[in-house]
Amino acid sequence: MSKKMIVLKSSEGVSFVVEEAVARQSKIISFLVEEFPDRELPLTNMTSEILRKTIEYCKKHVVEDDGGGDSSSSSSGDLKEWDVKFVAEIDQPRLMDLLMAANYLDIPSLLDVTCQKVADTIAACNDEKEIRATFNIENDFTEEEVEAIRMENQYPI
Amino acid sequence: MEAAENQVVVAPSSLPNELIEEIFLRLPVKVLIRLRSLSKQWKVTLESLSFAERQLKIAKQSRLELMVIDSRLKRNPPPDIKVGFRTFCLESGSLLSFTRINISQGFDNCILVSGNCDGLFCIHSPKTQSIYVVNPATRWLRQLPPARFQILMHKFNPTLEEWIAMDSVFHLAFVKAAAADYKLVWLYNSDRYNADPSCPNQGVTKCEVFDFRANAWRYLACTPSYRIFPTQKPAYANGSVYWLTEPHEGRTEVVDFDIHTETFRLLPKIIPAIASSDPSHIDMCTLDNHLCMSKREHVTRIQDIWRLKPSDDTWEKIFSIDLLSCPSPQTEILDQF
Repeated sequence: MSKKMIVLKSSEGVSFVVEEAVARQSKIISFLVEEFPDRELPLTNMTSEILRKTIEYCKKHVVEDDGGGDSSSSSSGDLKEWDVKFVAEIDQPRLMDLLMAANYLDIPSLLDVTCQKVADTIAACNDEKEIRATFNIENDFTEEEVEAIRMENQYPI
Repeated sequence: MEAAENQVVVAPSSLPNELIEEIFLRLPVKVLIRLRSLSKQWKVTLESLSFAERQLKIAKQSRLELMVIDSRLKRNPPPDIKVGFRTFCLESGSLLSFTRINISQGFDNCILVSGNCDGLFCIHSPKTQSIYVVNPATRWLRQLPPARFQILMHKFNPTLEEWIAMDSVFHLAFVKAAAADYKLVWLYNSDRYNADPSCPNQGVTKCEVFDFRANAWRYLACTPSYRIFPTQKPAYANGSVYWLTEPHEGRTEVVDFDIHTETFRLLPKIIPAIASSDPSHIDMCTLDNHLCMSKREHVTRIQDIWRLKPSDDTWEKIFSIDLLSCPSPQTEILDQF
């Protein structure tokens, strides 16, 4: 049985041909392919790089159901290990893009691993300065406001 | 926002709040406290109601923890108090966290701690005018104005004999009224002492409610006409607070207070074994947001636990525990009899 393929198009206009089962892990795509079965789907706010990453994730996580019951292509332990490696290899700005993509395409498991990676990164920072530098966050508090928060945080240790 | 040059760098500060929440939900409280000073958006998200509600929901789903509270009083001046909060894992019994909070003033030798309400506890003393709400996870605390009951007790300054004769109710109920809104409900016996001319009723009980939004105590006009059993802590379940009454014509009743309508009633049906029992032999608690009761049976040592079905006020037996065959610290249980 030949597998049904669909076409996803990135913001740069690059087309990606993907198995439908792979792409359907996105609830949005799943909905769109039912509404527009023969159209290629333009994902105008996703760069080719992020789309490629997203597809790589979905390919790994696709559940094959051409056998008896549902069987994932990998065991859950292997898959977890793979996920950790997958997010570890992405730099900070791209990780945020991927998180946004997971949210936009509605892929809950990818949203979970990307959010967890960001949370782990925050928790691993030694101080506020490091968090600011890592995530490029501007300090928009006045000195008085910072002092007030500091007082609140310390009270009543 | 500054214009990005070659590539768009999406920092978490430009993520929508909903995604920032997703990330924050995966962080421990200790880290979250520090994040409040990172940026205004982060602070607003962390302090938002929606984040608090989502976090509570997760905490409730994974709640296999037990909170144990102890307090050490220092008698010689100043009368300060250290309250230790320990959480234990119910499965392994291992200590998960320990926080000690020092409350610097205002406690005499009587301090009581309310039940847990969204991770918050109310620490108070009936004899002095101190009431605090404490969040052990963040070490946050807020001092509340004293209840009329405390003010009158303080003025009256009863002797030990008078305290015993009074048999008032020192436990207050700390309950959730709505999302991020709480109430303190203090129902006490007032027939023997503490007459207050400003109170709308002069029956055997009085009830004061503290509103956190108004930051004030107020009296309720209609209160139960049964004396409350003073040493039992009130139980809080499913939008109601419950107290046991002192036996009245040989029957112990259960008072039910609706948190939203602020009205009292007696539960129409009570298991006969419990109704005919001395209230000091009855245990009342909340399991899975339902009121549960059991009676300590001295002879059989078989403890039945009953659960109230609020829709039709009926009771069902959910457990029957043979204390003699329990492998758990039996001596401790037997000591209670």
